[in-house]
Amino acid sequence: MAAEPKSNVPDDRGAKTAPPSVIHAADLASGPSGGVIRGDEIDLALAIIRRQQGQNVVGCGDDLKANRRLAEKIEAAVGPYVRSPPHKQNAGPRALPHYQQQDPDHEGHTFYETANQKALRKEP
Amino acid sequence: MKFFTRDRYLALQNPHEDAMDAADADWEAAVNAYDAQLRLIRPAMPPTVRQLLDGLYLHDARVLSMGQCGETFTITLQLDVPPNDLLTIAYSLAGQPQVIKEAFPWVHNADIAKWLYDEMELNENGNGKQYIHAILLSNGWEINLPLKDVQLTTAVPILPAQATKTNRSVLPAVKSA
Repeated sequence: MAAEPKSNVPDDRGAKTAPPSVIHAADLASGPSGGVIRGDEIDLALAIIRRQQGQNVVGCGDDLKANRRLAEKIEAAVGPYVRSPPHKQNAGPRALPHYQQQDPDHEGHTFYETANQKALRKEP
Repeated sequence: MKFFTRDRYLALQNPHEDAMDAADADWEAAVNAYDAQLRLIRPAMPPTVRQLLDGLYLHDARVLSMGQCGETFTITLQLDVPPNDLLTIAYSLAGQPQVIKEAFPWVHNADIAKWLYDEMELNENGNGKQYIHAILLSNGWEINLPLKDVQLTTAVPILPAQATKTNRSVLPAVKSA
């Protein structure tokens, strides 16, 4: 599968100055925070492989719609999906919206950042 | 469910951008409305009920079993967050549980489910106050549990050891940061 550029979801609706969305490998934080820890930046092809493996990725950037479209593109490449927004009471105060597979046996998520909710940076 | 309803969840699945925006806004309004209700009823809740709501990350937990014995309803979950602890919630029932088995349109096997959303409600009637824990599962089922109290037990998982990682043995490993 050919790798695509990391900046792969152009926003044609006027957000010309917003930096493009980028994809990172991701892990869930332990405990009740619901936090998503972002790892290395990866390209679309690797993101799809991670999702096929049942691992997590996150679409990052300041443009919610671009992040959301990117996340959907990744998850759609794996199979039929559902979209779930966060709910602070049971997904934690740091939770991100995400796509995941309809098949409940397929683990992992494609998270995406919003204007207010960002993935956690991995501590050095 | 009054807030995180099946209909709201189904609306979130519309792939058109304008519809996604509308569904997100509607969901956010539901989150805010629920939070406002929760602030009102939280002070009188039994401590274990508050712990159930505040101290655990339940979203996407795998539902391992669910059943009733007399006035106790038990749900066993494997949490999605590391280290994938097992959690048993034992509800002391204050009334008959209600299980609405209406699957989502895309669900092929309703026997496999994850925990999506839940909300705690307080009903006041002639018999006094009664909490109801309403749960929406990923198979579309809705569970309504009138409760007096809950007992929470967590355990380090031995079997199942951790959540299944689909196709991990088939595809190459990915180097993490």
